[in-house]
Order: sequence, then C-alpha cells, then structure tokens
Amino acid sequence: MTLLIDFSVIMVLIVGIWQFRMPSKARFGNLTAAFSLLCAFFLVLYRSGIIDGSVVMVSLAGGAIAGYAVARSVSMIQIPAMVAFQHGAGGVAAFLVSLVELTRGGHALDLMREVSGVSGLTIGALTFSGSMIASAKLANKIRQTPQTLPAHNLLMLVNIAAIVGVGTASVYAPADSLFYLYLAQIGLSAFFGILFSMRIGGADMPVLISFLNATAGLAASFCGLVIGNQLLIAFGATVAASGSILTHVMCTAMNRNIFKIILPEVKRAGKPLKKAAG
Amino acid sequence: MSNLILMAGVFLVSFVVGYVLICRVPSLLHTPLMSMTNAISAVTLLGALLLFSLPTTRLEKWLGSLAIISATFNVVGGFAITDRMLGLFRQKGPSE
Repeated sequence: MTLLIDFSVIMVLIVGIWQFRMPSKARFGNLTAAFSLLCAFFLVLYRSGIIDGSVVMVSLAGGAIAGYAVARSVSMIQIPAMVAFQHGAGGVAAFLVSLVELTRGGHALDLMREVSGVSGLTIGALTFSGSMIASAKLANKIRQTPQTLPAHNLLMLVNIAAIVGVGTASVYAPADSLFYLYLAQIGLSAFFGILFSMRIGGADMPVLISFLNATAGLAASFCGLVIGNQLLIAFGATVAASGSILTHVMCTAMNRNIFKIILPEVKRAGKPLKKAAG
Repeated sequence: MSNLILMAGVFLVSFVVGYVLICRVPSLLHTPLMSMTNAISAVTLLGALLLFSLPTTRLEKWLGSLAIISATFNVVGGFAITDRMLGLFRQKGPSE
C-alpha cells in the first residue's frame, strides 16, 4: 500500500516533467511538479511523527519566506546566479542530513547505508562550494574567467585521493573519532568543489550549472539511501538523470567535449589575445 | 537486504524514466527545466524532516533546522523562479 502511494506521487512528478514537451504547457507542468513535492512532503509528515514541531515549523516558514521573497525580487539578469545559489542551498541540506544521520547511526548502520551516507556528504559538500563559486562568478562578484592555480591538476588529484582516503577511513575508524572524520570529509569535498569550478568560466558556465544540478540530485538520492526513503531516492535519481542529460546536450550544442571543460589544458595566458589582435 | 535491492531498483528505474522524459524536451525549454529540477533536487527536505522523527540532541536540532531552512529555500525559490521564467515565455511568445 505504501509503495502504491509512493508510486502515485512519483507518477505526478513524471506527469509534471512530461508537460515540458510543449512550451505552452510548461508552466502547468512546473506547478504539477511542485504539487507532487508537496504531496511527498505531507506524506512524510503523516507517516512519521515529528517531535520538535515548533523548530520544524519555524525553519520551514523561514526558508519558505526567504526563498519566495528572493525569487520574486531578483531581476531577470540575476536569475542564473540565483539558480546556482539555490543549488548550493540544496547541497547544504544534503550534506547536513547525511551528517546527522551518519553520526546518529555510526557503525550500527549497515555498510551500504554508511557508504551512501559518506557519498552524500561528499557530493553534497562539493555541490555546495562549487555552486557558491559558480553563483559568485555569474553575479560578477569574482572574476568570470577560468582561474588556474599552479599545479592545479596535481592538487585536484591529491584532493581526490584525500577524499577517498578519509571516506574509507571513516568506515573503519573507531566510533568516537567518526564525527571529526566526517567534518574533515566535508571540508575536503568543499575544497574540491572550489578547485573544480574555479577553472570553468565564460561560455562554459551553463554546463557547470547543469553538472551541479546532476550532482545535487545524486546527493539527494544518496541521502534517500542512507535514510531509507524511496521517495527521496526516486526524486533524486530523476534529477540526476535530467542533469546529466542536460549537461551532455549543452556540451553538444556548443560543440565542446565535456572532458575538455572539466579538465582544461593549461594554456599560457595572453596567447589567444595576441592572436586576436594580429 | 531485500530493502536494499528495492532501493537500488527504485534508483535505477527513476534514472531511466528521467532519461526517457528529458530526451523529449525541446531545447527551448532546457533552461526552465534545469531550474525546475533544481527545485526538485531539494527533496532532501523530506530527509531533513525525517531527522526530527526521532529524539534529537541540541547539535542535531541546529543542523537539522539549518538543513530544513536551506532545503525550503531551494524548493520554494526554485519553483517560484521557474514560474517567473515560464511566465516570461508566455508574454514573449505571441508578440514575436
């Protein structure tokens, strides 16, 4: 029975996305998707008794009012930066949920859930920091051109190795050091997000945003795995799929290779400029 | 264990369904679609709510409420922005 209800909520979401085939129906589709999310929200409220009702209500109201007010007040030019910022907010939520669930469960969780939790932590944190960089670039708060640190590739490799190392260590470490390991994991992943997105700039920004969209969905999905909620997994996976397709489509539209965007070759500064002048 | 397989199955099926759905969307609508899926990706709100279904310590309360705030910010803001974007579409459409 519960499965059937979950399934129908997901069906509503699918109908919503289905409307996006035609521009005239897209607005209705957006509302349909919002409605399905609302259904999922009330379903969770109904199924699991909330203990700290007041805290939850206040946070909900605060987030909703802030989100709506900001979304209404930004100008059309600021929208891309705002969308990127919202991705970041989603990332924060994902890694916080994973963190709390992991510290609560510790090694009592089965291995699969622990690994998903650590993945949720990692992906959520890198989505957060990457989106913040992207948002700042789009809002013209920092320079929009790709920035490269000395030995950027090496730094990224070391960072990835550290993330994998700490992640693996957290599965085997004694329970009392777990919380700090998780914090270290968040920090490392956030740093990776910065390294990753600061190198991308200019015309490649849409690709970056859509890539971060995919990672945000993936983080939500991992959150669902660690918490054990099918709705969360399904919604997250749908977003991850759509994000990765959009990334691919945008790359092909601009005649760019995704790997060239993510791993650009080190170019000597000034060279393209001289060519253009000559 | 069966629970685990079920979850993995849910993930796979949703991924495939998402793939099939998005392939049909015209490129004109890719930007609003991205903005909408951005809003959907904040379903972590459900996870944040579920955190409060068990007794919480003080730290967990803070972290959980921060998670709820940022997730609702993403959900509400995401859908509102998409709605605005699509509203713009409608006004522009006939005049062009």
